[in-house]
Amino acid sequence: MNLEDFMKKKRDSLTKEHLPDRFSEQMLSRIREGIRVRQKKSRKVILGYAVLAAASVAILLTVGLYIAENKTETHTIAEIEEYYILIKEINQLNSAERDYTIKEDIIRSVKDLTEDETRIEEQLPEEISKEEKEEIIRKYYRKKNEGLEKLRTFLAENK
Amino acid sequence: MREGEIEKLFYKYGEKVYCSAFRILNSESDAKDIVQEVFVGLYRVKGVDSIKNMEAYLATCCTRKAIDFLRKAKRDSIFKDEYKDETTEFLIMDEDISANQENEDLLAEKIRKKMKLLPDQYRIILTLRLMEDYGYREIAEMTGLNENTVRSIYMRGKAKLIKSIKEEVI
Repeated sequence: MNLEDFMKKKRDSLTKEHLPDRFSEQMLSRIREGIRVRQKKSRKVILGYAVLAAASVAILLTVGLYIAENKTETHTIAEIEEYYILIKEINQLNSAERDYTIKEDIIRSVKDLTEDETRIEEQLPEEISKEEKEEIIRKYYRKKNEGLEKLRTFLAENK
Repeated sequence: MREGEIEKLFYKYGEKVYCSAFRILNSESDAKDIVQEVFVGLYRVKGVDSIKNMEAYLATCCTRKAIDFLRKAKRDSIFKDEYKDETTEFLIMDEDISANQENEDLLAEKIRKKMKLLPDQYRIILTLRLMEDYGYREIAEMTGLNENTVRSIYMRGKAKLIKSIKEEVI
C-alpha cells in the first residue's frame, strides 16, 4: 500500500492529537473572555455613534428652531428641508450596525423625533396667520428638542 | 451567533479544530490561540443558518487562520521553496510502506511522529494535502505559492517522509 492510501485508511488515528490537560475548560474560559472583549468593543463603538448622532441631530434641530424663529416662512421651509436631509444621512450612516437592542432603541427614538411622514409646516391650515404658524412650529420643534436632550442625557449616563 | 450556541459548537467540534491547528502549527499554545480565534470569530457571524456544513466551515476557518498566523509569525519565509535544491535521488523509490509492517496502528503512529520531524514547509504541505484534503490549487492559494511549487514540495516531502519511515524499519 502506498503512503497516500495508507494515510486515507488510517485517517482517524492519524488526525488525533494529544489534547492538553483541562483543554475544554481552559478553552471555554478563553472563548467566553474573547466574546466579552468583543462585546465591550462593539458597545463602545455603538454608543459612540449614537452619542454623535444625537448630538448632531440636537444641533441641527437647534439650528432649525433658530431658523423657524428668525426667518420668513419661505426661508424656513427651504432650510428645514435641508436639515431633514442631513438627519436622514446620519440615520443611514448608523443603520449599518444593528447588533444590539439598545442601539435599535436609540435609532428608533431618534427617528421618531426627527422623521415625520408629513412635515408640520404642510399640516397647518392656510387660514391661520403667519405669526400663528411660526408659533406652532416653534412649539413643535421645542418638544422634539426636549426629547433629544433626554436621549442625550441617557446616553451620557450609560456611556 | 449567541454565546450559548458557540459553546455548543465548541463541545462538538473544539477538539477537531484544535487537532487541525496543531498539525499545521506544531505548537500547543499557538493551536490554542487559533481555536480561540475561530470560535470567538463566530460571535460576529450573521446568517449562521446559511452555513450548510459547520464542520467544514470551522475546518476552513481554522486552516486559513493557522496559515495566516504562520505567514505573519515567520514573515512568509516558511512558504518560500527553500529546499528546492535538495537532492531528489530518493524521489524515485518504492512507495510501498506497508509490506514489512506487522501492525498498522504502529505504522500510523510512526508516520505521525515522523511528520512532526519534517521541516515546516514539507510538514504543512503534506498535512494540508493528506490530512485536510485540500487540492494543490487551494494550497497554492492559501500559501501564496505557485501550484507547481506546491506539487514539487509535496513530492519531495512525501519522499522524505517515506525514506525516514523506511530507515527506521531497517
